[in-house]
Amino acid sequence: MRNRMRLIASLLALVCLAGCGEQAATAPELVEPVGVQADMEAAHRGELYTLAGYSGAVEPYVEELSFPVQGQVESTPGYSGKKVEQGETLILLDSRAEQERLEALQAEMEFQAQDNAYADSLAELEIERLRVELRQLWSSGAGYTATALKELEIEEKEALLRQTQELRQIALDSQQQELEKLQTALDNMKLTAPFAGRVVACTVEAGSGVAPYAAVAYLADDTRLSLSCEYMDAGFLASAHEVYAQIGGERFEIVPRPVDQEEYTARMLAGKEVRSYFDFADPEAATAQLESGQFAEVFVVTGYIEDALLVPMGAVLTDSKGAYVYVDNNGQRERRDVKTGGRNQLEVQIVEGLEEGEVVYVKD
Amino acid sequence: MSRIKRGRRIGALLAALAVCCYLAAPGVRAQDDLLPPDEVAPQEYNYKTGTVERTTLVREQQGRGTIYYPKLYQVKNEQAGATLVEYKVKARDQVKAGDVLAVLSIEGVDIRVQEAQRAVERIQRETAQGVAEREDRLEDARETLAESSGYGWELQNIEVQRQETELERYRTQQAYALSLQQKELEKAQKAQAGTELKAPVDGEIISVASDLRSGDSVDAGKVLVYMHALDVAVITVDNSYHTLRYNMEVTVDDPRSILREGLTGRVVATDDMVPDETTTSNVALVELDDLEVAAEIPGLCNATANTAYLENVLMVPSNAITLEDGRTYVTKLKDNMLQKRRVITGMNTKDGTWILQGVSEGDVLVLE
Repeated sequence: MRNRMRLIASLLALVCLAGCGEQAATAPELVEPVGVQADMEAAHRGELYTLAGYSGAVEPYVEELSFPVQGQVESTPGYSGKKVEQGETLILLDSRAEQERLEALQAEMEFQAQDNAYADSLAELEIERLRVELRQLWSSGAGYTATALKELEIEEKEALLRQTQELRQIALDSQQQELEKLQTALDNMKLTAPFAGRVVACTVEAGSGVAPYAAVAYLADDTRLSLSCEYMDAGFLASAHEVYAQIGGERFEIVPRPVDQEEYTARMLAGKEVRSYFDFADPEAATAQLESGQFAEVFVVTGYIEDALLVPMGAVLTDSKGAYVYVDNNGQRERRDVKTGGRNQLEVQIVEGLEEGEVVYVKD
Repeated sequence: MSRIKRGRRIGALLAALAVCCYLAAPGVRAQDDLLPPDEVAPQEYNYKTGTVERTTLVREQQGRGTIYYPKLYQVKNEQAGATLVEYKVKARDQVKAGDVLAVLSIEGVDIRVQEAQRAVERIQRETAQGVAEREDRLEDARETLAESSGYGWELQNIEVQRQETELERYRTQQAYALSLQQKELEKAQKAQAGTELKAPVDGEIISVASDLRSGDSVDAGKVLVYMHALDVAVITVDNSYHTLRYNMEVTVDDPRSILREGLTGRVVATDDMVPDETTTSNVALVELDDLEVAAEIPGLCNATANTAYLENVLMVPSNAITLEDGRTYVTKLKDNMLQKRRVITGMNTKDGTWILQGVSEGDVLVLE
């Protein structure tokens, strides 16, 4: 009985163990696609370069506008977004005090001119009266002393008139200067568009105070276009074989604008965005074909080799003896030592050890 | 007896274990149907593929927008010694040019006007009196001249001319003095009129100075009412990501579809156009091509723009790209050969990924 039980138990254990092992043994391997060959590629001749792209945009020329004087904004006819003509008023400062003073001064000068004319007439009439008296003295045979005194009196009055006129002229000149200053001040209190364009920002509103030479508005000129993009190092740009922009479907030649190192450093230290700027090689053509706001991709080509024998980066292996590739020789892998030249992130130039058209294996 | 029982127990346990193992081994039962026979059969390749195409890259950006009136006005008190009587408007009120917005009382302004009026009247009286006196004297001098002769006539003639000149000079001086005093009167009257602050244009009240209540004194220069004109409206769009650029074309619609579809406009101002110090509002202003329709725009709307647009670039399906150790690869299928190649990618769009280097038009790529 015991033996029978043992036998049954052993059989059950065997069945059990056989069942557990079956799972791994019976799962089939995934079938590799038939006909798919090992990765190989023929060495070919072509251009070797590294292409980097930087996103940017076509931008208008923007001029910062300010008042040369301080004051309070009276009105802002040139509000943000407004299209304006050259000479159009953008912002007016409150110039009532200056205008009032100008009008008062003009009235005063006008009155003074009239009053001076009357004063001159009166002085000349007085001199005329003295001359009549002198003639009377002469005709009455008055003595030398009397006539000489009268002549002196006339000379004194004439001298006094000349002196008064000169003093008046000095005062008039002073008023004229003040008038001109006021006129200039009034001109300075009116900000006009230096060119036709669009106000892209007006940073003040009626009632705001402004300081001399502080920016109050920005005017864009859509006829003067340039390009800006993500920042790229000046040294990198200098080493480039070619720099150009693609806008829409067209290629445009561009020229890097020199970097103001001080401004660059200041912006970097302040944690502000730094961009690279370019001018169009043919500004007139650019203006004719493009408009502000268009997306642009700036391409920088570096490490350019015109006619290089190239293989994929993964084809070149290295060991202690140096670089080598595996060449396909009628289905057999054959090690071939090679000498490499330039490279980018994709391909390697082979300068020695391989011929154009020879097929090399590429490592996964 | 106990040995027999123990043996039975062990046997039963082993039997149960064997049954469990059998049931837990699906491979045994599923061995035959793990892969259908047709899938096991050899085939050339079984990859999903996509083709590299030269196409147009477009990347869209959408932002929320609200109506904005850029013509802003501040209405302020110009007079010293002013006290607020009352506001006649509140925020969101629409007003016409000339409507009274606030009423002030200005200390002593009526007295100033009365004094200035009296001064004008005094000068006018003095002038009339002075002119009359001088004309009388001139008349006397002319009469004397008429009776004179010889040397006496010569002197009297000059005296008549002098008095004529004096009369004209007096008139001029008095006219000037009167004009000055009239200006003072005008100022006082203007101050008197300044007790009512009026709307400079047709528009809408943005806010009133809430720190002032009736009876509070109001400093000269204090702004009491902020308002905007309604004749010019633009849409202000969130531009926190700085993707909207000046002069970009924009399509505007609203979530509730109140507007007709496809309203177009242009970005006319962005914060990016000015130095960082100047503004931090991160908005772009969009002017609609049809200016009239701006007034119909509801509270909120959506503005969509193509922030990137390039024609004739190499695009691949985004699931053709694999990333390993920070490098991007594609797998080309060429002449039944899988070629894993590194590529240099540009930006991604909803239509695919732009490839700068590493593929050619027509290349067949393995997806996923």
